[in-house]
Amino acid sequence: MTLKLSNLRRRWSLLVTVALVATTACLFAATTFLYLDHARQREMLAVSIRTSGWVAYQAQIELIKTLAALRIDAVDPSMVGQEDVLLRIEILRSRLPILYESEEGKLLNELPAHVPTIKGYEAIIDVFLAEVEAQPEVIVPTQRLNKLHDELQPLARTLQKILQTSVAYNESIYKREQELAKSPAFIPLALMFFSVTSLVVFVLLQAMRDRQRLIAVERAQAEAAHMQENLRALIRAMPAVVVVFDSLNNVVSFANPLAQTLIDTAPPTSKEWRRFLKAAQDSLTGDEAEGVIVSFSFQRSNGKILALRGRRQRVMWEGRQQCMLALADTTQVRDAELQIMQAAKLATLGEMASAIAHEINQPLTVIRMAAANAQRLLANGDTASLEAKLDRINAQIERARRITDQVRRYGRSTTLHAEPFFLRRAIDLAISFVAEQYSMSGIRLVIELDLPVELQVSGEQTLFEQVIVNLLINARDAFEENRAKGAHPTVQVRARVEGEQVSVSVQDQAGGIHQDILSTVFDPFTTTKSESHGTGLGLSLSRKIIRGMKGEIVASNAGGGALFLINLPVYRREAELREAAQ
Amino acid sequence: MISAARKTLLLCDDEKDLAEELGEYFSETGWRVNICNSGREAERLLFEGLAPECLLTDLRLGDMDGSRLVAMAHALPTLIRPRLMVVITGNILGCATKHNLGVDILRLKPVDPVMLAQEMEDMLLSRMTD
Repeated sequence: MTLKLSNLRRRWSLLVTVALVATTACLFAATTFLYLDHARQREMLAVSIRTSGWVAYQAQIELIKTLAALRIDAVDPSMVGQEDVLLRIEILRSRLPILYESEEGKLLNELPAHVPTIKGYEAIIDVFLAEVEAQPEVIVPTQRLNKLHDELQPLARTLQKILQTSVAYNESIYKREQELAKSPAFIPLALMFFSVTSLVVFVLLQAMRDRQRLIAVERAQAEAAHMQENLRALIRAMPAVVVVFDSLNNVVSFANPLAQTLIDTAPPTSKEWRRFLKAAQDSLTGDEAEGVIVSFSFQRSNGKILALRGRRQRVMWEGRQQCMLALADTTQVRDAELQIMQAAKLATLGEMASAIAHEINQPLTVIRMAAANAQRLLANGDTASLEAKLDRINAQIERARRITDQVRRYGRSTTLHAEPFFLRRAIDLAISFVAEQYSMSGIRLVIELDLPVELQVSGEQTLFEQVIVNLLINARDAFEENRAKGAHPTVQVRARVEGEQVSVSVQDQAGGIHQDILSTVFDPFTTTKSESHGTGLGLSLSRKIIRGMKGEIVASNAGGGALFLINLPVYRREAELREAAQ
Repeated sequence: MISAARKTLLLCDDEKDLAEELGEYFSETGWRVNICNSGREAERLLFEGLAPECLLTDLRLGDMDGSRLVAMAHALPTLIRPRLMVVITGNILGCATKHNLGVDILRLKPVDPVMLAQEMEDMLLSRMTD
């Protein structure tokens, strides 16, 4: 509804503007036209006033003077009087063609009707002038002078008529001039008034619109400023680590109070902040993906390791594009997870205690027997064979040490601090840890590790070993439960490299995972084992560990059993990555 | 006292070092010892009529379960059946006892060789005098 009203108002405003512009343009055109017309009429008027009557009047004056000169000279013809007559006649002769040849004379509509008459008088004058010119020393007699006087006398009436016509014309012109003088006072003023009014209305409307826009912009700016201030306050107050940095030079632009407390209170260019940004950067999978999830550990200068998890997002900050890290401090969660992982490992160790005891008893038995034989040799004085016995005892002690090392290694507390490790060795260690148990359970292990020895992945090695051990123990337990069904006890462990990924699979033939729980098999407390076996957290923790290594673990049923497939990114050193990029 | 000729022992353990040391010990204490490192080899020797007076085996062999070897020995004809059956194991046994395994002596590793040899000899003697 509001939108419709707004559209209507906008259309109406546009319409008014267009109308005002059109009106102003029309009024301007009309005023211009009036001005031009007025100027033309004034010009015509000036010409008319200068001409009409004046030419006829001049001719009439000259005619009167000529007639007067003829009369005077006729009383007593003389050479002097004759010259005066000739002068006047010549002047009159020169005035007559002006009546009809000049531009001014042509303005009079009635004049063409008088032209033949005028030309007739011109001929009379020309004849007289020719006579005088033929005999310049002869004084023109009185009769000839009177004759010419009588012949020219009617010209006065013709000139009078022309003069009257001119006067009449001038009167009409004068009227028009009067009208013209009166009319412009109203029409142009009205036009000007409308023009100016239209212009003023247009300007006022535009000013009103501009003012409304200005108010809207100011309001929006104020709201934006308030929002920005609120956001900053929110960011400062929120119980999360928020850091804004320029990814081009890795310099921190903003760190909220919690970030400063947890990371560093030093200036943003300090080593601590650079180390923090590098740790965040290293945890990214891929390049500059938007809103990418970051999860990493950061060791503070006081030695405490923080666990942080959140997102990295591009933002416009202080007028330029930067990156924002919004992270939750998951250190307590991490510690709890580590405790659970530790508990799970200890539970596994407890389950394997029997196998471990057996494994340790083997070298102990050999040692005991070798020692008994050595004592006997010593009692018999046969010291030559004694050395071989001692060597055997040493070898068995070394064997027992390896077993206890393995147990200690598996049982020790872990951190989530990721570092590169050799994958093949980790798989070998995990397999060797359960090999005895598999042997005791009569399960055959098929191992196909198509991996270079030097291939590395990034993560916490003992946790990864725990994942493999978990999968192998699950497979063993599945066989234990399905042995009566005649399942063939073989477990296959395979690994191979595919480009920048390495896959590790553990597959058994113990009947597989029930379809009901296949989709939730990695959820916490999902288990098919009895309460005495397992916590229901093994696979959930395994998935967490693998995801922490930027990998993925999936479960499926294949070949009459369960197949767990782990995919991990191959670790490349920065130098290798640069080479690959080149 | 049992004559040396009667103290015959078939020793079966897939742990070669242990089999050797046990064999050496029993040999030095007057036993005539046959050593084998797999259940199948022991089975073959028993079937071929080795007829030792005593069978000593680990419970977990590489290729078969030690209890199966004991069961097979029990099934042998009386003339070639070992008179005494002994199991040594590194496993922590749950409900498994010498009775349900069908053996005369069951000992956990690491065994005391002196005590084991004495016990075996005493028991064999008692069997022979019965």
